Amino acid sequence: MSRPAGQMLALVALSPTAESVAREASRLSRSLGMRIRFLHVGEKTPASQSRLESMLTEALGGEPGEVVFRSGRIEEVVAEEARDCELVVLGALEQEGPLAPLIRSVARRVARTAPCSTLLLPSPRPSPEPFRRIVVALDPETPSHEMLRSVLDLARVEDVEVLHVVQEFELPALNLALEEGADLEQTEDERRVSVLVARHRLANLLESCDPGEIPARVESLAGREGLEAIQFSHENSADLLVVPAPQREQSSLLERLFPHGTDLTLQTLPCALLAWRPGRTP
Amino acid sequence: MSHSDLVSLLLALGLLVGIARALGELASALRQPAVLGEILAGVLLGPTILGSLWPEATAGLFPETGPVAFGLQGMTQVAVVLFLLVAGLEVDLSRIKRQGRMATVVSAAGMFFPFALGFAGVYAAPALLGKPPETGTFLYALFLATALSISALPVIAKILMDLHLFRTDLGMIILAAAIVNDFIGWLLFALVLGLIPGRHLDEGSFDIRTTVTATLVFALGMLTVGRTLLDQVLVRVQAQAAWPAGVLALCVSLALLCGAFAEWIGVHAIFGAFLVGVALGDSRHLQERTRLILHHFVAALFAPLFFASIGLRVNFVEAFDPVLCLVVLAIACLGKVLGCGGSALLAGMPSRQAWALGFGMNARGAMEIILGLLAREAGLIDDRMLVALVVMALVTSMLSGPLMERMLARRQPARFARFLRDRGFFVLGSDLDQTQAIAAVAGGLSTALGSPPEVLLESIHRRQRLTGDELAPGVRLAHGRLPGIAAPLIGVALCREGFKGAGATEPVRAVVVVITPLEKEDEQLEVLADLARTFLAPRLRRALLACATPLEMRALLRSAQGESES
Repeated sequence: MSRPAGQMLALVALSPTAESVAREASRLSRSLGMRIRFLHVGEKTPASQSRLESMLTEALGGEPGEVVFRSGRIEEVVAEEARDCELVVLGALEQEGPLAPLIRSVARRVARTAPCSTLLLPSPRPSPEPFRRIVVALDPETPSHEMLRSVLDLARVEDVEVLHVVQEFELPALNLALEEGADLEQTEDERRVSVLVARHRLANLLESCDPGEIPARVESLAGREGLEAIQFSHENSADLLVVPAPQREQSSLLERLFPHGTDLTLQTLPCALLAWRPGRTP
Repeated sequence: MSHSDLVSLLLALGLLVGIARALGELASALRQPAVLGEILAGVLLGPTILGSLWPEATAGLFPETGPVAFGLQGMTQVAVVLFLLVAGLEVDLSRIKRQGRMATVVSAAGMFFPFALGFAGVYAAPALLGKPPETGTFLYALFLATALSISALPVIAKILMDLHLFRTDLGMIILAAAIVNDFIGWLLFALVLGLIPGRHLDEGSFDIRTTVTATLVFALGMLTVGRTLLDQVLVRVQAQAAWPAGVLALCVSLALLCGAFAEWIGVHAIFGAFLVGVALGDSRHLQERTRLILHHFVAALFAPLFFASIGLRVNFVEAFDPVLCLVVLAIACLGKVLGCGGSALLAGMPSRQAWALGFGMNARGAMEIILGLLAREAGLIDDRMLVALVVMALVTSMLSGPLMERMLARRQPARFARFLRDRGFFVLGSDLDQTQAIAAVAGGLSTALGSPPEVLLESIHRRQRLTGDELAPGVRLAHGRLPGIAAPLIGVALCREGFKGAGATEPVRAVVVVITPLEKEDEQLEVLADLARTFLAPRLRRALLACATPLEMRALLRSAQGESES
């Protein structure tokens, strides 16, 4: 997109959805003007090489180009191979298992440790099309101009039908005020006023990034950070949700027990999810 | 329970709940903590007033022994268990990290300073701090230290809401710190109750080592596997059982069951209920309206019952020890205000904000009173200390809001009434639609501004595409920002019958056009917040929609503003 010489790393396994992931990654690399490299983490044997190459040839309708075989822990291999990349693309489960906070899946570990943005594809489409309904959920505490500009660029490339710029926020313990004589109407009004103010603050931010003719709308979502964006994406039939990438460092037990924000979003992917990381990014 | 016992019990419960709720409402109307009115109900009906004027009436209505007393006590125990369930629902420990270093520092200092003062105070002057001779010094010191370090999240939430500080950085820091204070405070208090000698001597009870081990396993289990399981159960109950009965029954029965388990292993039942609250509150499937119903259920029925019952058990006149009250109040305020305010100051917060934060965290309220009553029932403190804790809780709750406001000395926020322009005021007929109304107001405002109406309209349309126009029922917002204007400009178009073609469910009777300076975001957001508060108030909205002139509207707004400020 803004850097035509950028690189994309697409992670492919010998799985039923690998073909679709490869097609989606290939489409996106053409749209964004990126060079694509395929990475398979696993032992390189003549059989596996041949299977993978024929799968990619079929999926892409021609020679797959560069295919790298590496062994090791997937997130570590990706962290190393994606050093020069702007985007990592891989398939992911839609729903994490019940022990998700303690044992993260491969895709979530990659999203956390990759040096650049990561696109997780929970149900890649057999014949990929541009992302037309994008939701970008900005960081609730420190919304980033850089992230918003980057998503506006993506929205232009994909020629979106609608771009929803949302920000979640919580009103902790507001319900407890009911015990102190506040009535329901008062707490509801507090919620509505907070939503209105947050929405206009967000609109100011968006205007400062010059959305131009992109059909953008802003929405502030009062509720649980990380969950409201999922719900909103479902309700608006989004095909791509963009969120800030989770922190790279190992999170504490407390954070694992009480996850919030992106960690919660990653547990249930409502659609394709781009975990955006600043710096080298699409 | 005999027929007459049942009559007595129902009569007692009916009187307690009814009078406590009524006095709680009255206290709220007078901008005082609701708990003040609820306790007053017990004081009126108990030994302090009715008992001294007509002892037979109190003894007949609220006997101290027998099945009626047993029934009342059981109800108050259930009330406190449910109170802790809803307190736990709002505990989100990840918030402390999100609010950053300042919240962590304030929370730690807000626990440590009052705790240290209380603990050291008991060792230095046990008699002055009301230690009963039969209570061990360590246990008493631990109790008082915990009691002084706890904050009252409900009072704090209400104060922040009243002062319009809820969504500010200061408000969020206070809430995050208070949530952690509450969490640690309740865990500590459960430990104190578990350490009371004699609690482990009953037949079938565990020794202290087993209790501590079981408590740790229980807490960890609830916060890990238990939480995941609860999440799964909750989603099924919400999907398949009748709403809200199914989910309410699940929450209440879990709180009671875990309360029973906690009591069985040797810690107080509140510990189990609190953990259930924390686990449920963190569930992604617990809907907001379910939370609200639980809060209402407890706040409307069980809280009045519990707080009124305090006045039934204690003679507030006889047990009032002014010296003890003053000492407890002084230590509590000193520890909390200095601890929180001082640490915020040292961490780099501006001084007025830091001390306002200290006063905000100083509110104790209902939590303190629950703690006091449970300690008295466990034989840890006497009536004098309970009354001192109640007085401290009420005084700190009443003072917190006014002291915060005084300390912040905020400038008046930008008000809608100040920027309303005569030339932008129109009362229009229903033959016009919303777009025409906006154009009319923009035309009026553009004269005042000296720029063509198209500039205003372009800015309004750009914003409407991004944000929509909903402001309040029947009221639409048309907002734009322009560079280089000195102050906001506001105009209003009213239509008694509703504008043509607008409003799918409710006719649109007013369009408010707001143009603010591009460079002044704070002023813009203050005006919008004030507008929303104004038009969301149903009575004021109706009156505003009936205005015929801008003068009338301004007068109405000013008088409403005066009322809310007084």
